[in-house]
Amino acid sequence: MINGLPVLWNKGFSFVSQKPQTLSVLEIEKGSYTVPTENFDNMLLNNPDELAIGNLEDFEKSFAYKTFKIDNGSIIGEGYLKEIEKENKGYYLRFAKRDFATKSGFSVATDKKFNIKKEELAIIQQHDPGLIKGEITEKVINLNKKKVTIKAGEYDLSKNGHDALIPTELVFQMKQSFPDDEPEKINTTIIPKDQTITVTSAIYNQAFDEDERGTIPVAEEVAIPYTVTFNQFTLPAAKYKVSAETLKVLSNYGIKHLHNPMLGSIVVNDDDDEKVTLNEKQFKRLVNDNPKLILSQIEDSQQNVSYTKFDLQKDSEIQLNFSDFLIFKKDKNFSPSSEKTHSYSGGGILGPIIGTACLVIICMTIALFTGIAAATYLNEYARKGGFTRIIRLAMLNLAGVPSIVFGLFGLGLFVMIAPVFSATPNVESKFHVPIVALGSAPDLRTLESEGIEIVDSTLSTTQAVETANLVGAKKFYNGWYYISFQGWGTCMLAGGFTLAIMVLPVIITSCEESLKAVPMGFREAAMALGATKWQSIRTAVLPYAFPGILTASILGITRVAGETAPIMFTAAAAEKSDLPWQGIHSSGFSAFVDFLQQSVQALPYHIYTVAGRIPQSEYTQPMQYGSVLVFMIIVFMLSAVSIYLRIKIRNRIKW
Amino acid sequence: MISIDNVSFSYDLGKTEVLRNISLEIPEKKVTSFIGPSGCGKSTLLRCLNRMNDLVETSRVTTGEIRIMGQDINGKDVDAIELRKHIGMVFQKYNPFPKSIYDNVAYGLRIQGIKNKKKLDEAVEASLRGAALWDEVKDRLKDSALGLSGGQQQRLCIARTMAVQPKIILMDEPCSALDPIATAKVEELITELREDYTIVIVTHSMQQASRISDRTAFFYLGELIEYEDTETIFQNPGVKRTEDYISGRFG
Amino acid sequence: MRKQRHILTEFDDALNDLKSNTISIATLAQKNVENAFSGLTLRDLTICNQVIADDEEVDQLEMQIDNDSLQVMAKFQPFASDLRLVVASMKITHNLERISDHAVSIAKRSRKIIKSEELEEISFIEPAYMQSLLMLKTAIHSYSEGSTDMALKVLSMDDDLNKFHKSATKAYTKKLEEPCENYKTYLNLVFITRWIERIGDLSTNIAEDVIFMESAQDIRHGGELEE
Repeated sequence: MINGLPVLWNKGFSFVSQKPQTLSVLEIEKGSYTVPTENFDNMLLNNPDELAIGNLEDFEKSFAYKTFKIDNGSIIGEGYLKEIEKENKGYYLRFAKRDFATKSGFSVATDKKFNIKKEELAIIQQHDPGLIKGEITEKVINLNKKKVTIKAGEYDLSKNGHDALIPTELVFQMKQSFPDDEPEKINTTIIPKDQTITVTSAIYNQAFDEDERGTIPVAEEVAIPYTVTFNQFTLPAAKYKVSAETLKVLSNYGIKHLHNPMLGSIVVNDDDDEKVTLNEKQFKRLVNDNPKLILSQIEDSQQNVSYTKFDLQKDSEIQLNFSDFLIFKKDKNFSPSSEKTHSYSGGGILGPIIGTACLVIICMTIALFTGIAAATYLNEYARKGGFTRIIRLAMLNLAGVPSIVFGLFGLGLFVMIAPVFSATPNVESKFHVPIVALGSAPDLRTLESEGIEIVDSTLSTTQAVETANLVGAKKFYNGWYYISFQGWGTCMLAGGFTLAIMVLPVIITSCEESLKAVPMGFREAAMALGATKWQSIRTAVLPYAFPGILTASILGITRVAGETAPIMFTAAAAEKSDLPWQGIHSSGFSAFVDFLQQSVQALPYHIYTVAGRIPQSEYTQPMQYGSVLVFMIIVFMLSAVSIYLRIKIRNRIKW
Repeated sequence: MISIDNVSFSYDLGKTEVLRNISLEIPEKKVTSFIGPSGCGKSTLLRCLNRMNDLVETSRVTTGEIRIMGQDINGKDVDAIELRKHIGMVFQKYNPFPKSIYDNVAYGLRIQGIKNKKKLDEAVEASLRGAALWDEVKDRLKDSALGLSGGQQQRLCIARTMAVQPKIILMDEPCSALDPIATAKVEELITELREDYTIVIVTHSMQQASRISDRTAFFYLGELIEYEDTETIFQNPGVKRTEDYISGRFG
Repeated sequence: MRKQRHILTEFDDALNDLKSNTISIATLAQKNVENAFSGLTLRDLTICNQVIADDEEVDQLEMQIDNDSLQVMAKFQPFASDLRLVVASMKITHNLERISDHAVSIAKRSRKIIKSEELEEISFIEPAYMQSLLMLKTAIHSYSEGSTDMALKVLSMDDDLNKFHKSATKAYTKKLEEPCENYKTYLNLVFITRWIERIGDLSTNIAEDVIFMESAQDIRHGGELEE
């Protein structure tokens, strides 16, 4: 608490309202800098000691924006679409077709020299003969390949040599594997038989050069000279339109564009008539590079961003969030003399708090529903005797199980083999059960992003799985809905269920106590009036057991909010840039399912990460103490709420 | 109205019999009282009549039949829930739900699915009038039932029972938790109700039984000792044990 | 028949007190009747005065018994045989008080007879007196024993009493038809005979009350006892 309070004091509300970020620690020379005010304020928050800042000047810069709508049928490069989606958070295009025929555009800002291989030039000449207007010169370079013969035996081999030999045809075995943190280590390799392979000079230098340590001695080597012809030409500064193959070639040589020549351009099929916004620079580039793009309803708008100009009066060490740092870098004056990053030490803990809240809500929903049902059954319906005793014994045992066992259990059950109802099941799933042949094929974007292979609907399930496996796809689709035991993956749902199982004994026990406390007379009176057993419980018992159940649930929440081990395996992600409700692109019920299928950051896991899994420094400490303090405050608040609610409701219902 | 025909009853699947070979006829639209020392089975018999003993899993009617209006109530095609809608019960410890007065009386009707507000209003008023409680509570129907005095609460329970319009009302020592004035009011109510309902009342108070009942049955250790008109029982009982009991020589 | 004790000992004690008080008043009344006749036959004034004085005690006892009975009924709300005991005791007490009153009347007339000359006709009332006294004793006995048989015997003795009463009265009235100077004595004797007969009647009432107490059957005014 002592260490945590100053952190909270300094950072204020921002600690709770910002997501965790990497902290950059920079040494800045004194000078004059201009940055957006928002980032300037963040910088002030991040630096607990007073920075020597003077000559503050606030002014506004305005930026021009264009708002427009993309018409159906436009052809747009993949990168440009992604940029639009990044700038306009609600926009997500489920395209169905890719286009390879259209030419893609790109610009060259200044005259650029190219030095490409002859084969590549041939491709360019084939597809875009008119592209290169200037002179093309040829240069022939002699290179050597080496054909080497290696005798069977055991030899020393360095890591470099090992990595170099992997893509060759050489058959060899390592006696030990190379550890990641000892790059200089020499291990032994076994060559099982005499082999002759051809390698380039580069690989030869790495693996066979006798001057180096850890290389394999060659019995024989033959040099095979070969030539590579390079062509040189210059493209003057201009805008160009080329086919995909040409663009593929040119991309290797430094052309800046956002197309994806491997997969092609995208055909726009936007049913929503949504308008999107880009700034001037992006808009210009979009229009230049996409000749077949059809836009309508183009409007100009302006946005004013306030900037602050300030003088740093002496060389100082400044802590900045990484995102602020990126923006600071845009100021050309800004060049730190040293730059260190510390993960998880900047920003706040909004993500973990939200994640914990989501987990707790899911967990309590499941636990309360199951727990109240179980307690009602045990108390009201079950025959008093051996069966209930066994259940109670089992519950007591369950309450004593260490939380890490729950984590592993959740991992095995929910993350890896829980059933999923889907038309595109995983190839890796443990078991498929076909249900009904009503599926509709997903759109192209989903197919690409999730690695779905569409197989013939006449194939049986096993054949479909095999086919998709051969192709290397992750999922398959053959028109049938399946129940597939593929697990839910690391997600909130798995975490929620695991936590629910953990807290179930507490809930069941307290619910039972609350039910027992309701006098028998109510049940008898209700039944004497002609109520069925369930009616009497629902209307004459459960409402009065409510205060106890409420207390139990708050107790459960308090316990569950702080658990680390169960969520570590089943739900928690150390780093997540979006909050759970951002980044979902479906709608309706599938949106809800997608929401639940995400992994989340969680507060206890965040504390664990910050304290245990990253290198410690004076910069990580504020985050640690602050997180723990906030966590304790939350727990105290929950307990206080529970006590208050319990008193208030108990006063209302008295008998 | 109610024929109890050679009935024996056990709480533990027949191992020990709590009631043995009880036979008596309970007449319609009269007050019949069951008297006897503690543990003699009178409450058990009362609860058999509306099958409240079914709540204890191991309870059984081991011999005989209980027929209400000619129908065996333990028969296979008789639904206990339906039965209880025709036979109401008032308990020794009055137990109004911690709801409002209105909701208490309307409870039985709501359980049956009646939601029409007007119907419920009428039924509630009729029942409260019938229980001689209307004038005392008509201005505070929405207040909690637990704010009433003990006697009012017991009358509220009676009103609650009456709201479902049963033919028979069973009362298990209804006045034992009440002060004398409340007791008198409830007894007055019982004598009025006699015109419309068949009432069976279990009581520990001899005076009460002699005041309000038409027929009296004396039970002892699970057996029916004597069953006569109340006057006879209390002035000149035939069986010595009955006389000893009502004179306070034992029990 | 031995009855079981009440659980409330106060109740038992109260009923026992009531019964013993009733027997006390009965004993007193019986003594008064005997003394009245002794005073007449022995021509002893002091005995006659004794009877008049002892009647005070009878009156007081009657009031006390009435009071106690009311208390028992209010406090213990007796039922069945207890209730009959209490009610019967009240009625029997009332009858005994009247018997004592009649003994007083006999004593008063005896005083007058003693002042005049002794006559042999005085002995004529002896049979009626003996019968009446026997009836009274038997009735009191039947109450203390709780015996319907004895009570029935009392009822059966009523006929003989009437016979004796009639013959004595006839003898005295015959004497009155002839002029004589002892006519006052004969008149007083007629009255005394009547009172003796009344004592017998009252004893019969006591017996009927005892029968009601024991059997709950009301056989007054010509009723028959059923088994």
